[in-house]
Amino acid sequence: MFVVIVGCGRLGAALAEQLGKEGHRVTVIDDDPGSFLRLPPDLAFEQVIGTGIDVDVLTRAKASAADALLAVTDSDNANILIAEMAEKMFHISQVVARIADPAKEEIFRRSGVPSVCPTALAAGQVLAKLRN
Amino acid sequence: MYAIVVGGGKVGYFLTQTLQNRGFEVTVVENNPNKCHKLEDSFGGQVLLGDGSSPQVLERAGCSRADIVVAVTGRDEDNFVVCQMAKEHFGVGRTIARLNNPRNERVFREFQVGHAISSTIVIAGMIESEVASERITELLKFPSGEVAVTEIDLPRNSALTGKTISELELPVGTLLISIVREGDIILPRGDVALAGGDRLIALTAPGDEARLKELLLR
Repeated sequence: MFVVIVGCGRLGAALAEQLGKEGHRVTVIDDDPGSFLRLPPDLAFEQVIGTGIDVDVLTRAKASAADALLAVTDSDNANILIAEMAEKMFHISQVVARIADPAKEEIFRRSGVPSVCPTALAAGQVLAKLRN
Repeated sequence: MYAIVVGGGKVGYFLTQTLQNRGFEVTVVENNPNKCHKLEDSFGGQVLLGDGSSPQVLERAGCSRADIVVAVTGRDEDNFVVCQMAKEHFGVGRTIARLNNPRNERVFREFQVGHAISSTIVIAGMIESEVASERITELLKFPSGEVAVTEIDLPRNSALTGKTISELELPVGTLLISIVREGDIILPRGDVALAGGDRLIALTAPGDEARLKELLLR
């Protein structure tokens, strides 16, 4: 599988590492070249410097050939826009956007943006620990 | 009419002032406390401190009763999300997004977040139409960008002198509205013959300009 990951923060780098270990081809996009230092040095990743909210940058990352795109920058709004571009302009079949604001996540999930809310997931886990 | 302006920078400031002067009820949303204080000096209680792309903040701004939402922050992704939420979640009829990076124009158009306005594109367009051909001037462009009113000055020694309008092979998207000849307005029926120095006023589709230039100004 060919996966494009937009945003190489802690979440982006962790996803890249896991997918890379499983043998998938991974391209990582971030506008800060220093962020690529988070990637494990023993695995090969293609790196593209630039903002994901730019058709040219996504094209450089060969997004139209991707099987999946994960929008995991630190901006909810950027992730929403990138996910919509990935689906509607690059026709990528599997897209996930990270939206940290639970209320916003619900609104966009309802309107068809495939998303994950780390805040809601963490809250669930914390509460589960508390009740055990 | 109730308008919400998201983004209290220079554009947001003057927009709020202008809308207020025109009788709109306006709330301006800005998430930088320092900018908010300055806005409050001018606009008093109509300033809301908060992230305008957060659903709770829009809710507090009274988004569901807003007639229009204008997102003019410096980030395209924020403007996009504000307009999408206003339209889809709060049911606002009119949304306008400021476009900072002209390369995102296609994206905004594709997703129909309402009107997308880019000062860069507008100014570049003005420069182009001035420089490219002073004989063809775009008088008015409708915001949807689908049609424009264009003025074409035929040269004095035009090769088309004596030709009738029905003999011209105008592009399909072009409709002649009128001919101005020495101050008189002539209805452009098919049997009207053109004369050098005529000023033609036409409705044109985007991209017709080059074809019109070739046809009328060669």
